[in-house]
Amino acid sequence: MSVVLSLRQVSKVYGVGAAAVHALRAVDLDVAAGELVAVMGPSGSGKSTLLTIAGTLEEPTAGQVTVCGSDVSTLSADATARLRRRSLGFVFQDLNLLAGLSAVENVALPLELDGMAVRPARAAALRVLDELGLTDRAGHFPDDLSGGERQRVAIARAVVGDRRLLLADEPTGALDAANGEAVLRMLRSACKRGIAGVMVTHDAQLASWADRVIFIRDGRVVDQTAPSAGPDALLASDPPR
Amino acid sequence: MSIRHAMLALLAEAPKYGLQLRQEFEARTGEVWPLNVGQVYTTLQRLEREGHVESDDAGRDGAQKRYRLTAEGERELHGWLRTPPQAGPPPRDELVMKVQVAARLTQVDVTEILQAHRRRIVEEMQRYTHLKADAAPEDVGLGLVVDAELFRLEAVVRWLDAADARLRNHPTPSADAGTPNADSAGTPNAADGRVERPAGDNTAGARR
Amino acid sequence: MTATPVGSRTAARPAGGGLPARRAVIRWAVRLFRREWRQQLLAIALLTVAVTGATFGLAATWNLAPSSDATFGRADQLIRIPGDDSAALDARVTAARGWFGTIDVIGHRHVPVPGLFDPVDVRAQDPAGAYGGPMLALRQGRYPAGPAELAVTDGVARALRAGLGSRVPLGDADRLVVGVVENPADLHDEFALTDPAHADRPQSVTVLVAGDRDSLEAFRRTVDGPLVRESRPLAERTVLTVAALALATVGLLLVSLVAAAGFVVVAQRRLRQLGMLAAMGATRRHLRLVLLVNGAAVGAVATVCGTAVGLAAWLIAAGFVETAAGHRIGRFDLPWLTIGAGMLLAVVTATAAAWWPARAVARTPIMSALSARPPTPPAARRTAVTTAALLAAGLTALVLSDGSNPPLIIVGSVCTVLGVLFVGPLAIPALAAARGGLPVAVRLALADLARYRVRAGAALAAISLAVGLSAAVVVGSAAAEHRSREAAGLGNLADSHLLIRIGQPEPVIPERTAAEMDALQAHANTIAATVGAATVIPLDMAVVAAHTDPGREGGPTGHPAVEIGAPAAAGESTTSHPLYVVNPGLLRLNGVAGIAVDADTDVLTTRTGELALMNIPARGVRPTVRTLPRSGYTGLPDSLITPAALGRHGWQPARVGWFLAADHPVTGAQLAAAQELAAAAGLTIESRREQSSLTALRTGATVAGVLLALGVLATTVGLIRGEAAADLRTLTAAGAPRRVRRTLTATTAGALALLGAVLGVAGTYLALAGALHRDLDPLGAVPVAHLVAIAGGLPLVAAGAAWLLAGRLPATLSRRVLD
Repeated sequence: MSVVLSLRQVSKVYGVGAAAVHALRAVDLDVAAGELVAVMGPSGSGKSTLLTIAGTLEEPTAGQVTVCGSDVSTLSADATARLRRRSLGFVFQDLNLLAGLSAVENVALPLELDGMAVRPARAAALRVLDELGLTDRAGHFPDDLSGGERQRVAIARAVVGDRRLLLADEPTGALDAANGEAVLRMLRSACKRGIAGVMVTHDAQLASWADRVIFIRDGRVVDQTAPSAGPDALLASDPPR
Repeated sequence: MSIRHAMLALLAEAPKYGLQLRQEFEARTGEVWPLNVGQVYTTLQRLEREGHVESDDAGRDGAQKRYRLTAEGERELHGWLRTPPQAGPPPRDELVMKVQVAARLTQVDVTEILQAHRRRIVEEMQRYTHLKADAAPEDVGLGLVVDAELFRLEAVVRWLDAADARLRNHPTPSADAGTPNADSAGTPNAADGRVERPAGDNTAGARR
Repeated sequence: MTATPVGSRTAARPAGGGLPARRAVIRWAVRLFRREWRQQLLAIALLTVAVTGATFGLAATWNLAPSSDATFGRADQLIRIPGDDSAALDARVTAARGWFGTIDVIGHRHVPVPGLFDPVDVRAQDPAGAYGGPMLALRQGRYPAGPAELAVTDGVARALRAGLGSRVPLGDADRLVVGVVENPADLHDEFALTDPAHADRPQSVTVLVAGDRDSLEAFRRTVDGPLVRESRPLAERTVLTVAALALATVGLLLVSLVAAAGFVVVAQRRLRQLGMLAAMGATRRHLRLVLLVNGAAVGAVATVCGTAVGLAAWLIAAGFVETAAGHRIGRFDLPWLTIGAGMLLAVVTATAAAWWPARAVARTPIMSALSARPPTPPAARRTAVTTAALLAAGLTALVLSDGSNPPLIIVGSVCTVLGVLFVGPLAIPALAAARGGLPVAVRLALADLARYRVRAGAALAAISLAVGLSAAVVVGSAAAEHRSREAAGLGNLADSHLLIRIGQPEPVIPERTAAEMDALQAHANTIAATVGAATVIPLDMAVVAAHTDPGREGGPTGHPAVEIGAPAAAGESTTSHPLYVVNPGLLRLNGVAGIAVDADTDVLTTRTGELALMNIPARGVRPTVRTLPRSGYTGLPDSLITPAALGRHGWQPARVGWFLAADHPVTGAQLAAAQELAAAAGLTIESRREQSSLTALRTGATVAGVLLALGVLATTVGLIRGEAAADLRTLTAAGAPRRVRRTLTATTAGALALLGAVLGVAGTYLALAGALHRDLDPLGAVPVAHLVAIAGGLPLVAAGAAWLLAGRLPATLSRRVLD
């Protein structure tokens, strides 16, 4: 499968001199299309920085970030903006939706920002919402949606159009278990359809939805899980006591 | 989970054959806990002996027997539902013992040990989660069982995280522990131990 | 993933998102405004007030400006033909009719009325004339027809003590008053109207004609001899209105500065959402657009409300200002185009006010925006450089404008104001640095001000602006008053003065016997007693006894009286003024009591320029002049000739009247009695002519300015309260007594108010000094009381109010003012 996101020796330092904080140290990461990767680590381990750098929201201090085949450091500000609205989708912990726009308008916004006319953008947004079971919520405003619905609309917005990479930062952080599971099911199914997904979290349950879990600690990738084994493996091994 | 009470619960819905009981048990627990035929019949025989179930046809082979819940069995089932799960002193936890030991061994990086366990458990959780994810959301029985396992495993991961943080923040070996290894570890690292600790800088900070 | 558009379609979309993207961003911005307009109520209210003021001001300027319709009617040009020679007059009128086709002829006779200083202008005008329509309107009765009828204006009716149906002696015959008329374009134009078909021979004729100036000049070349002609001035009220618009622009820009501070808060509040939009792939241009649209929306709402309120206020007020304006006002006759331009300007300035916060937000790193971290304030040194540059540019523009070039004045004022506003953030740390040795609460308050430099700077800017505006109104109106007093804006005489002339005020003085003089003196004394005048100053003029002139209009013959001619109308003509013989009373009246006059001085006068003695046989006699201080009244005997000059030329003094000064205003009843007496005795009385002064309007402007200042101050107090709330909560939690809280809040408010007042007043003086640098005298007339009230009262009131209000625990709501 084709590699959508590739980080090579990426480092990020905030501040200078004695106050310098090394958020990331020489991180390598490849995420292929159709793969959901979880980045797991304690608070302050640099996992959110990894996500924002992968999402072109920040520039790395050193190293190379390649998104959908383009080296981000060579792109202009407008070109990275275009990359974001065409190929990237973000889902943050909360406050994902723009107040004042209905669910369908929120979902259609990235398409409209990319120059698609109102009608086709709206139609595409409605199709996505329909697939995610949110048809009856399309006309609602964020204030009238529950927390889970808001996150699901945010995912719809992150995958609408021709997206290649979905970046999620604690996407179920503010949700209860049932709503969290619905959101994660949706993320997983989005990836199964060919999008590359990166999700950062400190929560093992959340991370376990991923095909691959990367462990990050003090800005370094320290470990990762083996490529996913099928559920049959459960029958073979005893649950740990 | 008690197979005994699972059998009672299945029979509470309707009288069932022995084979049917086994299939339904496996279906409802998402095949997480496979049962062999022998286990099923031993359990049923015991239940019948205790008067909790009765069979239609005493002369035939167990597989074809149809079992039915008695009034006594129904009482037993309802009593069990309300009884809190096993209380009493916690079982000796193997993982806790391992970490305790690792923390005192100079030649072992306890962080690495913690991470190894964490990775293994997360892999385990991944398998359960994928099982749940690939099943239909309507499959409630599977969901319940998998969630139980996931929460249990998550608790272990959280304990590992907490142990990690505790060992990080208190890297000094405890003097009262009195293990020979602690003494040989040499100078206590007075730093707050933010980033990297020497492998031998052990601690007995994690306590039960 | 789902609505997978084909790759080629994606590629076909515009690179920057194009119109659909902009439309989506605008849609969102408008929705946000509709959701959160209440949070911007202050900016909206301020802008609305400004637009209301602008609209009302434009309507008022347009309608209050004197209109040339008063003299031109509908015509473009006018010709004045003297009526001395009636044959020549008829020839000229016929020639004009031949040349121009349609003309409108208005005959004038100036008929003296016994007891009145000013003769009555008896007009022979056809109410249905081709061009004179706007100059004539009937208030009551009907237009006169036939030789025995007459219509008068209300002023003339009063002067003649005549009414509808009474007969008045005018000239040689009595006429019946059949109507009350007026000149709707100039209500101070007093005249009597006769039927042109049956009018007496006119002394002069005004011919109204259409056509441009070239055509008039061409006609003039066909005529022998001089021809007095006048062209309608270029639409002067349009010019005035444009000037008013320029003024309104300055006001709008200033208000927009306050609005900008509000927009900074809005931008801060929306930072996270804007970060989200950026993460979604919006470009910087899109982010800017969000706030610019918000600014435009605020501007649009304020403009619509402000225009509506302003127009409504005008429609209500229009009826009341006709008297002050001195002409009839058509309520709906408004400069719609200019008002439209003003509306557009309001939207543009509001949008411009959003530009700076918009730019700052667009430049904020996305991650900072997503975590709602505000952008770091610019370095103090950079602010200082900007401030200095703005002040320098503003003052240069003001100096270059000479107070008369509107674009330069606007640029200059805006730059200066901006510069002064930028001084605020720089002045705060200076204030905080000087805090050593003060009580701890005061030190804490000052340190906090320095810490929240940007927020405190915004508050300070608002205060400076409010204070600057009211100071500008106060100082500006004082300067204007000074100027207008200089330009004889005080009228002819004070209301406690009367000028009595024997006979008509003409420079031909008949010889009178001593007995006659005694009788006249006795009458004058009676009048003085009637009006309670304490001072009676005799007025003598120098007469050339060697010459005898025929009296005008059948008056008695007499000797010419020496007058002084001063250049008028840029030296092209000369106006003559009476010249009275020096006596101690006149010297005192002119404020130079008891001065020693050099023997070689001929004339003492307040007038300047190339003065000449007139009405004497010799021409171009330039007197030796000593200048007197100006009194500000035009009718005061302020040109005096010395006895030495009389001696040198062999002229004789002759009594021509008396000047009466009471120590109280002369009442209408006293005046009427005096006029009665004077008419019986053959005397003429000049009293104060009521001015069509715009004092009411100026007071209104002052009140409006003060109200605006109060509005801004209320905003500012809100800001200060919000600013102080967090500290107060902390202090309260830490168990600070109420007194400390009070001191803290009072210091914050007082310090901001003091800095704002000082900056505002200083800025105003700086700007006015720049604009009026050629003649700084007007600024010398310092309205001390007002300025003390501003500079001292404002901080005291602010500190006092804060002291009182801080007794209450801060409400949680007050925190939201800035968050």
